[in-house]
Amino acid sequence: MSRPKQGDAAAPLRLLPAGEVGRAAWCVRVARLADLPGLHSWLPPGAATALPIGGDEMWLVAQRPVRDAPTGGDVTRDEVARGDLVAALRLRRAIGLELPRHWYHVGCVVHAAPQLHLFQRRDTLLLGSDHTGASELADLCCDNASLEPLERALVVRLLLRAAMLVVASRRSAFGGRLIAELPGSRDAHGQSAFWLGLGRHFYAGDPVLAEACHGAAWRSHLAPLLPRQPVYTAFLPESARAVIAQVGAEARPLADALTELGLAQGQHVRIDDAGPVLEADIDVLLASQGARRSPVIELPAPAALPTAGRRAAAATGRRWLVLDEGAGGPVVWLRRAGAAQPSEVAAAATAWVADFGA
Amino acid sequence: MPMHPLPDDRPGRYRLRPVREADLEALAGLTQARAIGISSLPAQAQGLRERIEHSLASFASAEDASGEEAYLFVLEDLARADSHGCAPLIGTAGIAAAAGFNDRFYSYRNEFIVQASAVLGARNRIHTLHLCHDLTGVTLLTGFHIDAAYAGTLAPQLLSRGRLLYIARFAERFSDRIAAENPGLADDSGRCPFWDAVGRRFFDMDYPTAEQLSGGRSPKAYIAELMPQSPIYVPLLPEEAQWALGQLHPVGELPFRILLDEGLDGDTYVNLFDGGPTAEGRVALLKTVQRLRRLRLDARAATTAPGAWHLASRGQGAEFSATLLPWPLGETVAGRDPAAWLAGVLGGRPGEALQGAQLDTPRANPPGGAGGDVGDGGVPARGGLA
Repeated sequence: MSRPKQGDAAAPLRLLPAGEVGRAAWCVRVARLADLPGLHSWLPPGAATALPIGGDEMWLVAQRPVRDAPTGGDVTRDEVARGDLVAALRLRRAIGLELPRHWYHVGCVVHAAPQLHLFQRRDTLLLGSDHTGASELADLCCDNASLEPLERALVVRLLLRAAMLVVASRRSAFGGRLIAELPGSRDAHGQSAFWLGLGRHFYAGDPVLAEACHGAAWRSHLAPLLPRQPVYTAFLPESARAVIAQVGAEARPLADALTELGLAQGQHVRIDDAGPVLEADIDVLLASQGARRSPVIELPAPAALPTAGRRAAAATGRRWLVLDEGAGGPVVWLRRAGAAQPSEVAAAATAWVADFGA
Repeated sequence: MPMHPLPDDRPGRYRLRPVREADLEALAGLTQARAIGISSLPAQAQGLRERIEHSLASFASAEDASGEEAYLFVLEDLARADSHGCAPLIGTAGIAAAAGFNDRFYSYRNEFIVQASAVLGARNRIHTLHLCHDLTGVTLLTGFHIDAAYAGTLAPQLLSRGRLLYIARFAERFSDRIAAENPGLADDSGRCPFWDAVGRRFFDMDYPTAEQLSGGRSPKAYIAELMPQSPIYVPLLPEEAQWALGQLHPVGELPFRILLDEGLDGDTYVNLFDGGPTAEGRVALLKTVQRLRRLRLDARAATTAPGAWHLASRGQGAEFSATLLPWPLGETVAGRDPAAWLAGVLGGRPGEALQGAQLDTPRANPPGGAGGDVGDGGVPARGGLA
């Protein structure tokens, strides 16, 4: 089946029932109070664990429903509620509008003296709040213990793509740009060479302890202590310069996933460990993912298909993300597309969908 | 090592006057001697000749000066004059009428900001260096340089402060602000911690080479444009450089102390290259300038009380000369009538009034007598350092 082009909204999407054909169906939904105990068991120490208040932030969780789904009938919402939560992500509408956020802008100045045949490019770091008002993908974490590497890659991709589908369904609530901060390079003891070369001279306390006390917001309280004028990186030790915009080793898979999503390294880094800030234009991202509204036809279960061949063919259809609006917030399902059936029901509804690939 | 007995302070022993063409050879010799201060004079004869020419033209220039004048003074030890009356040169010092004339004069200005975070319970006072042109057009005292043998005498006082007499008397030639650069900390091999921490990172060459390239410690504009243009956060510099900032090279201590005593501030500006302090202040507020008054011989009182040491000067342009003497003078000086004695030292007509200012020194010599105790370079105990 060829990939539908954007704008080809008239062609209805035919979806096999969730949880069919022996594959567990993933979904991404909003975290609830009842989820917290399960989340606490694998969230990293220091991670924010409070449910968001107000509409500015959505805490999305990826859920693997009960395995060995029954071969007949759909996975019900009750069964969804019983599954394991294996990954989480915070989606923020517009950051830095209450508690200011800060980043260093990495700039360049050129000093030239033709008379002396001298031409120097110098990098600078300028403290600022350039991404104020941008949307953010933050705090992505996985239950690594219960996920195999391939599964982990799938879950991360699912969570990110689902978040983008949620954004598409509420486009006007979000701004123009989306960012994602990544942790910087640190040594085995969690020390950042960048912190030792710069931040340490302006805040004598332990940054790890400060983060444990105040959470990620500690950086908003650090910023008033940091230099406000451009700092030439030439004044930093080589070890500090080397890690500017370098991703910490553990976060490299996440960096790859964000890059695949369409975000790219911009001109900004974190103010504590110089971790890179990836960014993208939201409309460009959504266009490249083909998020759109589409009429959806719910197909009957393949078990009812006349031949084993047809059942097998149904299992290789492309996967789609489908957003289901409900009382508890959006739920994004990972579904398989199927072929047209003579007994199919006419399109009952339109939903936000995005191609998830083969 | 001095070849003569330790110099002492006698009235009229030292004379400060503008340089003349005939001084060329003696000047060249002086730059070789072990000295206090750093001579800004070139070592080669041609460069020296040009400096002398420029100085002669400056002294001869009209009162509405353009600002590019550079005045070079020399200090003579009259007690060692030879049979022809030619006294050896023991020091030089200069005045540049307007710093960075036709261009800009670059400096770092020391600034401090306090940054605090109540939530994190932190409060810092941060030292920053800001590149500025504040001192452009200011009159510069330059190149104080004196034979080390005279460090313990009053001679340095005349060499340094005598210039201020000239500036005060001919104020229309100069700015109302004055400044003096002082050498920063560097070791004998020319290694300069401040340069290594700042300038070298942008020039990628060692300090002596950069100094040569830029024609001296005060960089030309195209040089200064290579330096970082945004403020430098001193906490980010290596500790050695932080400590060296605003520190004097030992050879600069004596002239710097004299300038601080005059009332110049040494805390605000530092040199771009070596971090040495640049003293600055208003001419009108300087101690010597405020004390400047006419010294009339006929107002002398017959007194046996020793007069206080004074700077005394006369003459305009190339005729300018200054010396140190107790005032009032006694009835005789060195066995001669005071008016005649004065004319012998400073030139001019006997009985001509002088312009002078009192020095703060604990040693007031009896008029006509020999010099008092050799002290510690004339650092005033009374009044202290400004």
